Amino acid sequence: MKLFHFVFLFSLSASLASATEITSSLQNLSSDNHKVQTEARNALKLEFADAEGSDYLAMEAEIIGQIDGGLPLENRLYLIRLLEWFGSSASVPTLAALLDDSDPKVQGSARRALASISGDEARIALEQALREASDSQAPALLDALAYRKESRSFGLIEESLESSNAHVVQAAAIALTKFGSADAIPALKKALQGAGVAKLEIARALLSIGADVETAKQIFVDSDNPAVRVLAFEDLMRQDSSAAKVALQSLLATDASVGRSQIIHSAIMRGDDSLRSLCLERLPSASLADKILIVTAIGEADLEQYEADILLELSQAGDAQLRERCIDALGNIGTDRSFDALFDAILAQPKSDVVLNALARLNAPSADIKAVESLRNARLPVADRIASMRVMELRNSPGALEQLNAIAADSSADSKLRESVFKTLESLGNFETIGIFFGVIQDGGALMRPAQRSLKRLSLNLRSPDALWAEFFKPAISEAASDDDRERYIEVLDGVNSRHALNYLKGNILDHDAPLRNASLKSLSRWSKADSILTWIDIANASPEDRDTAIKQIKRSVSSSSSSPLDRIDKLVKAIEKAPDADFKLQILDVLSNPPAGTGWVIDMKLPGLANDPDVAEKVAELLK
Amino acid sequence: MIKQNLTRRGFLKTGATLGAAIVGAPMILRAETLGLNGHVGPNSRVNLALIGFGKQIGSHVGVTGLHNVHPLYVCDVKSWALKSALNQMNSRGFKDVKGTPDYEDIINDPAVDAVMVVTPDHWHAAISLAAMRAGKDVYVEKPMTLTIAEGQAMVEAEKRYGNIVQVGSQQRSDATFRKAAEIVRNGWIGEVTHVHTWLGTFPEPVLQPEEPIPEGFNYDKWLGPTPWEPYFENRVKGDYGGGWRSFWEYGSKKNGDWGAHHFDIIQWALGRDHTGPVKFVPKGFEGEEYAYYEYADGIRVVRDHPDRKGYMIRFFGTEGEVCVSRNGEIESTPAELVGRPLSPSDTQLYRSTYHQANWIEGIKTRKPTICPAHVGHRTATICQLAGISERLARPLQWDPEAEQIIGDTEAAGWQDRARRAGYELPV
Repeated sequence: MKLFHFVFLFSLSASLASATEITSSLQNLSSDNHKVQTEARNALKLEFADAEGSDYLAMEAEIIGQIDGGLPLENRLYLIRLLEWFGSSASVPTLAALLDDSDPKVQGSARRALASISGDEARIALEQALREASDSQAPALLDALAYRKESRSFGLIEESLESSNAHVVQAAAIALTKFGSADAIPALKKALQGAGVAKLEIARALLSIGADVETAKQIFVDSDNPAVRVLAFEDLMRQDSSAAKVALQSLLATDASVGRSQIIHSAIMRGDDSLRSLCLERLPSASLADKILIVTAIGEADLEQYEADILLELSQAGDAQLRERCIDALGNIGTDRSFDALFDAILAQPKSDVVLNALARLNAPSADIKAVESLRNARLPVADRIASMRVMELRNSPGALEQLNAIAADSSADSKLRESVFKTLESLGNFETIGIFFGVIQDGGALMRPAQRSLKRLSLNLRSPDALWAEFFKPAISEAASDDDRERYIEVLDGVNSRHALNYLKGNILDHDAPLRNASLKSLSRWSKADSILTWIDIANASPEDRDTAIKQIKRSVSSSSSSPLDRIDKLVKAIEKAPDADFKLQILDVLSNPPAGTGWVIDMKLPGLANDPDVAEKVAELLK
Repeated sequence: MIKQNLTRRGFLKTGATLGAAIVGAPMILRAETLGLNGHVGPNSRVNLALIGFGKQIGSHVGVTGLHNVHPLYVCDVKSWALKSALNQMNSRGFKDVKGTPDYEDIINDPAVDAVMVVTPDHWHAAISLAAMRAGKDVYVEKPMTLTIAEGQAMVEAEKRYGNIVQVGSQQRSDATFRKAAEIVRNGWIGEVTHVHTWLGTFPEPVLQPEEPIPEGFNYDKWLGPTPWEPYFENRVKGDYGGGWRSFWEYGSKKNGDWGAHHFDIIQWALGRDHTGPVKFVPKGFEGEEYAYYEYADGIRVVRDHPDRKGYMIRFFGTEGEVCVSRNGEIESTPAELVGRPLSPSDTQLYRSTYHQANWIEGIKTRKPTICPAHVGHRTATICQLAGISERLARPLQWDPEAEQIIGDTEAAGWQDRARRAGYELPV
C-alpha cells in the first residue's frame, strides 16, 4: 500500500501539466453560462475517458479533490458520476466516506459509483456499509453488491435473508437471483419456511436458480402469483415429468386456475409427449378457451403429428375465433391432407387474411399440381377452373404463369375464363403478359376493357415504368392504325408512372389541335401519383385555358395517398416555385389549409423553403403556425 | 371431478391462495367468459392499464377501441397528464377507469391482465419486469430497454414466466416493410453487401437554469433510476425534436429513436433476430464520415449515408437492391421484385397488420407476437452499443453469443447502469 502511495504521489506531481486541461473544465462546471457548463461536462467525460497512466491518475486525483470543495450539488453529483464511469480504487476512500453524507442524493451517487468501480476496495466498502445499514438503506446496498456480482459478497447477502424486515429479505432474494448461484438454495429454502410477505420473492428466487422437485411442487400448489406458478411448472417439466403431469392434471381439472393459459401453452410448447397428450385428450371436450389455447400452441410448436386432430376440430368448430386458430395452425403444420378444408374456408371467406395466409403457407405441393392441371383441363366446368386460379394466385404455384399466359393469349378460350385469367395475372403476370394484354387490346372485342384494366394493374405491380413505356406503350401508340386505337393505350397510361409517358401526354395537351388532346387530358386527370404535379404546372404555365384544370388536379394529387407525404409536399413546393402567378400559387397552397393525413411533419420541414417568396410568405406563415 | 368457478370479485375478496379460495366459493360464471388472473378466455375482455400519457400515447389509445379490450387504469406521474388521460377514456365511453400516479397500484391489482408501457426509455424495463413478474402481459414502446442488462433481464423473464410481450417496433406490422424484408430474406437481391439507413440527429442538450418543479409532478419518480439532476422543463419534455430524447440518461438519442425502428427492420430482413453485429464505429473516429456497425459476415450498416435515394433504408445486394420507407414507399432493382408473389417454399415472414391487435390476440391465444422481448432485445442492444460507442467516441467489439463487449473492460461496464435507491430493477 505504501509503495502504491509513493508511486501515486510521484506520478501525480509529474503530471501536473496534463491536469491543467481538466482543471479549466472543472472550473467551468460552476459557470453561470449553462452552455459553458454543458461543454465542461462533455469535455471532462471525454478527457477522463481517454486518459491513461499518470495522466489518468492525476485527473482522478483532481476530481476527487473537488468533490468536497463546496461545489453546487449537481456538480458534486456529476463528479461522482465521472468516478462511477471511470474511477479506480483510488476513489474508494472518498466515496466510502460519502456513503454517510448528509444529503441522500450524494449517498446514493457514492453507492452507485462504488457498485461500478472494480476491485476489492469498492466491494469491501459496500459490504461494510451493509453491515452498518438501517433497514431502509439495506435494499439499495444489496442491489449494489448484486450489481457487482462478486461471489465474495454472497455470504453477506445470504445473511440478509434472516432480517426481520420483509423488504430487506425481498431485496436479498432478488440479489441472490441476480447471482444465480445454486449455493444460495439452502439459505433460500430455510428462509422460505415461515416467511411472510417475502415468501413470494424467496419462492421466485428458488425457482429461478433451481429448486428441487418437492419445493417446486409445493410452490406450484401454494402460489397465487401466475408468474411464479408458471415458473414452478416449468421447473417440474425440466426435472420430473411425472410431477409435471400431476400438476397439469390438477390445473386442467380446475377451470379458473392461476396461470392456466400460460401453463397449458408451456406444456404443449416445451413439454414431453405425455404432457401434450394430456392436453390433446381433452381437446374434444375442452372449453372454448382451452381449445383455442391448445390449437394455437400446436401450430406454434409445429406439431405436425396433430394435424388430424386440428382438422377434426375445424370441422366441428362453430366459434369463429376457434376456426381461425385451427386454420392458422394448419397453415403451419398442414399438408396435402388439409388442402380441401382450407380451400373450402377460402371459398366461404374469400377476404379473410387468416385463411389466405394459411393457404399461402400450406405445405401441400399436390395442391399446386392439382390447381394447374385443373386450369389446363378444358373438360372441367369453367367455374372449377376459375376456382383453381385462386389457389395459384395465393401460392404462386409452379407452372401457373405459363398456363395463365397461354389462356390469356388464346382467343378461342372461354371469355369468362379468360377474364378471370386476366385478373389473376394482375399479380402473377410478367412482361410476356403485358405483351399479351396489348394484343387483346389491339384486337378490340369484348375483352378489350378487361384487358385494359388488368394491363393497368399489372403495370403498377411490375413497377418498371420506363421499361414499360419504351418496350410496349410507346411502340404501340406510334404503330397504332388510328387515333381511336391510340386512345385505347392512352386511357391506361396512368398505370405507367413514367416521366416519358407524362411528357407524351403533356405534348398532346399543349397542342390544342392535337386529335388526342382530350384523351390525354382525361388520362392525365386520372394520374394519382405526385409526379403528375409538375406536368400540370408546365401545362398551366404554357396554356392559360387549362390552368383551372391544373389547379384542381394538383390539389387532387396532393390529397391522394398513392404517393408518400414526402413526395407530394416536395412536388407541391416545386410546383409553387414554378407557378405562373401569385394567385395560382395561393390556390394550390390552399390545399394545405386542411392538410392531408400524415403530411404535417413534411409540411413543417418543406414549407419554410417558401418563406422568402413574397407571393406566399404570409400564407406560409399562417400554415406553419 | 369438481369444477370450481369463481367470480373475479370473489377471488379478490379472499385475497388468499387459490386453494383456500376454492372452498365454498359460489359457482357463478363460466371461467371462459372471465378475465381471471392468468387466464383470459376467448370471449372475455382483456383488462388493460396504460402507463405514460406523454407524446407517444396517441399511437396506442386506439387499442381501447378493440371490442375485447377494457381499460381499467391510466397512469402518469404528471397530474395534468393523468387528468387528460381520464378525460380521454371518458370520451371513449370508459367511465370507470381509475387514474393513478403510481404504476405499483396497477402491478398489485390482479384484475389487470395486461399493461402498456409508454414512458420514456429509462422506465421501460422496471415497469415491464414488475408487470411480467406479476404474470401480466406487456406492450412496451421501443427501444425495449435503456441498457443491455435490462434487456437480458426482460428476455429471461419472458422465458421464465411465458408472458406475451410486444415491443413497439410497429414497422414489422407494416406490409411494405415486411415486403422489403421478404425480398431480402429470399435472396432476391442476392447477398446483401451493405445497408444505408437514415436516423438524423437531435440537437445537443444544453443545461438550463433550475426551474421550480410544477405542482402535481412527481419529478423524483419521473427520474426513477436515473441520477438526480435539477429540474428544467426541457429535460422531461416529450418532443420528437429533442426533449428527454436528447439526454443519454433517459434514452439512446437517435439510436433509440429512429434507430430502434430501422435497425429492427434490418435485423428482420437479414434474419438476425437471434444475434447481432460484432463491431460498432462512431462517426468521427479516425476520420470516419458516418457511424456504422458490421455483422460477422461483413455486412455493414451505415448511419445517415446520403446515398439512399431518399428512402429510410436501402439494402444493397449483389444482384439488386431494395429501398423502403414508411407510407408505402418501396422500390427495388429489378423493379418487379416488389410485386412478385411468394410461394410456399419461399420464406414468408410473420404477418401482422395491426401491431397492438397482434398483441391482444397473443394475450388470448398465447401465440407469440411479431416482436417479443427476445427479438426487441437484440434490436435494443444495437441501439445501446451504438450509443456507448458514440459516448466513448471509440469503436467497440461485441460478442453477440456471449452478449459481451470484448477487449474493453471500461466500455463493458456500460452494459448496465447502477440505479438510484428505491428504483432497483426487479428480476
